[in-house]
Amino acid sequence: MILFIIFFSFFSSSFSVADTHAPSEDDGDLTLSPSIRVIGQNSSHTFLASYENLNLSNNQEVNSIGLTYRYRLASHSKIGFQLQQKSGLLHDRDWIEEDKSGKFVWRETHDRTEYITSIEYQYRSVLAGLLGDSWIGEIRSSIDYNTHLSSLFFRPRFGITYFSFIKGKPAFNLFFRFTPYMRLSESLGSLYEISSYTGGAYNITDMFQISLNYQFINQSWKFSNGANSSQKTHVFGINLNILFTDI
Amino acid sequence: MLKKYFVTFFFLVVVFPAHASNIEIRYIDGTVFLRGNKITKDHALHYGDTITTGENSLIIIKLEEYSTIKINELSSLKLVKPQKIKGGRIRRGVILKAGSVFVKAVQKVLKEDNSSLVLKTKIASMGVRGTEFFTSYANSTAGKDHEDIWMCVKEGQVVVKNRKTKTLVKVNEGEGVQVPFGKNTTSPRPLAWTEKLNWSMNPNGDVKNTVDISQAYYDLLNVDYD
Repeated sequence: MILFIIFFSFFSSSFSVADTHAPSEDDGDLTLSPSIRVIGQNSSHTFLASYENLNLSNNQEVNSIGLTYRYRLASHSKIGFQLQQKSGLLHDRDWIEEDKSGKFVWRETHDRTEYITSIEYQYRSVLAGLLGDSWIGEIRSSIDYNTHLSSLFFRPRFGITYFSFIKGKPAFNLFFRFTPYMRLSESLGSLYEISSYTGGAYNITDMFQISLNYQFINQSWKFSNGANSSQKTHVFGINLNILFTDI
Repeated sequence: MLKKYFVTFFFLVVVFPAHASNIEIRYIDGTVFLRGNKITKDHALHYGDTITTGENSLIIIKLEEYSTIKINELSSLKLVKPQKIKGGRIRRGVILKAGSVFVKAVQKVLKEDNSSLVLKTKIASMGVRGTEFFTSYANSTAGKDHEDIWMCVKEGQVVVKNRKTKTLVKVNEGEGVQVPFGKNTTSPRPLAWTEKLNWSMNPNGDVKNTVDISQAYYDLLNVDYD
């Protein structure tokens, strides 16, 4: 099942272009995405503040600031709340006809701010029987509400992480994440975006962690003129985590 | 005068037979040392002895009828002579000098015996109100004298006294705590790494514990990097 999902994420994204009134498709650009997170945590509570600059194909630059709180319900599960402010997102309704000329272009959205509120539930388990004590599997499901679109989205995230320890302290970890992003309102359950995310993180000190990752993003649109289109982006990410434990 | 000596002798030997040790080696695997000499299953143990295990070795001992202890690899445990304390109670104890042990105390026998069992370490002592618990030193980059202690309870309750901060923490069944060197004991909570501990003391089965204590520092199920 997991292999099918991974396969699906990479190869199922060839949506046809119905007519010329849709963005052109290509193999996707390779872009760079820096991000930083500040994480405060103890055995029951997690606070997370983040900033990310994500560059997507078609010169789409998305800036995102997020605040997250998670509460540990039990040893395996957490519930969370998230507020994100994003600018530069492109939606179906942003593919517009330019001056009634018959030529369609993306609307300029760099200065448009959107707010996304989310509730999430995550379940984690040690994959001792499958891979070993150092492997953790997780499912994190979120319901997102985009205030600009007035739309609900469902975002299940499937992940697996390997942790390595040296003298009782985490040294590095390797991870893989897969996230389909589905619209719940308007067209129920339609796939809006798929992202696959893999990389490694190295703990420089107890407080600082740096990670490098590769992310494949496939966005899909269904335009009001009946056209469909998708856009792929290969993102090389670099992230700095600042960790405060036992707050 | 002679009568006085006789009464003292009678008290020590008959009324307070704690010094007459009845310590049995139930199982031994690998190399286990007593005063530098390798011992076998037939070896006699006494209170005051310090048992040391080598790499990939372990020993299971039965202390009279009140406790069974599994001493894991690279560990050192001293069997303390029972002492009479206030109210006529007897304090029985062991000192964990290195490594880790599983302790299974028979609460019924301790009650009948009007005695209590305490496991001491360099930085904390555990008063046994329960029946089964695990205690381990964790390797520290600061060296052997600055090691933290991890403890978890399988059954019953254990009271952990932090020798530095003098605080008492009650740890219930299914919970564990960390006693960081020189700091407060953490709040008791379920610890993911304890789920895989091998509590068995049955010599006929698999008694070796393979859980790596280094993971204890990291509650993997609580890690949130994104």
